[in-house]
Amino acid sequence: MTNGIEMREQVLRRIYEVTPTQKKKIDLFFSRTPQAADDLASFLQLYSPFLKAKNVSAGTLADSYLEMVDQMMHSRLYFLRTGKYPSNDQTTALVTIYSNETLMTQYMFGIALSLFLWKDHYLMLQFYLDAIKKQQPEGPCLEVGCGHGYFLLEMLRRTAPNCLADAVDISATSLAFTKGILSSVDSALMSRVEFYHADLASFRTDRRYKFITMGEVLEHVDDPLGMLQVLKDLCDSEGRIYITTCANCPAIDHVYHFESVQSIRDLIAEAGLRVESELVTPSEEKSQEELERLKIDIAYAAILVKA
Amino acid sequence: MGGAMIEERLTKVFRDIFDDEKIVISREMTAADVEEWDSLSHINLLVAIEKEFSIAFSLGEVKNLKNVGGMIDLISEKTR
Repeated sequence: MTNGIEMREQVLRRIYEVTPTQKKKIDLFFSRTPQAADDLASFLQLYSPFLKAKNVSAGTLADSYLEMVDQMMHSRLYFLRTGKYPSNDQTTALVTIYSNETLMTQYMFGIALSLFLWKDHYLMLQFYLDAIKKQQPEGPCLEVGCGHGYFLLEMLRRTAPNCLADAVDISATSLAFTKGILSSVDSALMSRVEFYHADLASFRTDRRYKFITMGEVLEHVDDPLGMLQVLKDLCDSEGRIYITTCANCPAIDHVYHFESVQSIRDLIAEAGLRVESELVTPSEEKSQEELERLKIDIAYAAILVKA
Repeated sequence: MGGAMIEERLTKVFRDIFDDEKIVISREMTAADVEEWDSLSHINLLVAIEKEFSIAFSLGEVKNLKNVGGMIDLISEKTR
């Protein structure tokens, strides 16, 4: 654990040096949720062989996070100025971001750190881990958009060794990243996963999945309804689907703008799915009036079943 | 626009955003010096500055805004 704790302190020191506002945000979160600081150290410990193999230092991790924060801040400025997200089609996002290895890698490090630095992302992770614990899926499982690989890794670690999974991602960089993580943590995990470099719309399989994970994807696509309908088709009649998305959450690669949590729920119902349980967590602790007036981003996670 | 005029209008923006008529800005001031200057109010501050001075910040400019002095210099450059 020493490596993880040391790396956490180095990452935080760098972030705190550069942005006092992030220091305030993270300090407040850790003071209320000390477990998140411990979990961050465990995460860094777990990822350290991969990071070492890739020659990624604590400073690089912190700078990736800071770059993502700046990108999000700039996207939010644009959003508050225009009422729109900076990108308005997924093809542009594919070309400029998902196919850009440097940018994608940076983004994945940043997002992975945010799981332990931001209240809303941390709660969504806990919601996911609770769902895995409750469902104990025997497989097959599917993850769409495996990104930094942490959700897939935890799913594999928390299910039986005979639980198999498929991972589909539009980004070759994400797939390589996830493969690298699984191999470095436990090479046996790799034998349980088939990887597909594909858009979900073009993914073909006869499998019907007991548990599907699709975190932070709906806001990245032009047609989230179509995507939910595909998930419904791929889900076993007794299966569960874990999704996360967000309302009023501009980012360089966010395309579809949910203006409220209710609009997310409406789309889920339109796709023929039902919310079994959900988590709604604004990024800031503000009144409903302030959330709406300031268009503060609201994270949403849900466990879905066929209606 | 002159530095004094920018500073005067920027002070008004700060006082509005932080709802504190006593705030006196200085070139060295950062978020570490104002308790209420958190990540949310930083965004609100930038939005208010953009409106007050009819400017739009680029990504590179957002990244380099380290203190109030940087804000004043940038506003001066963009309103020239």
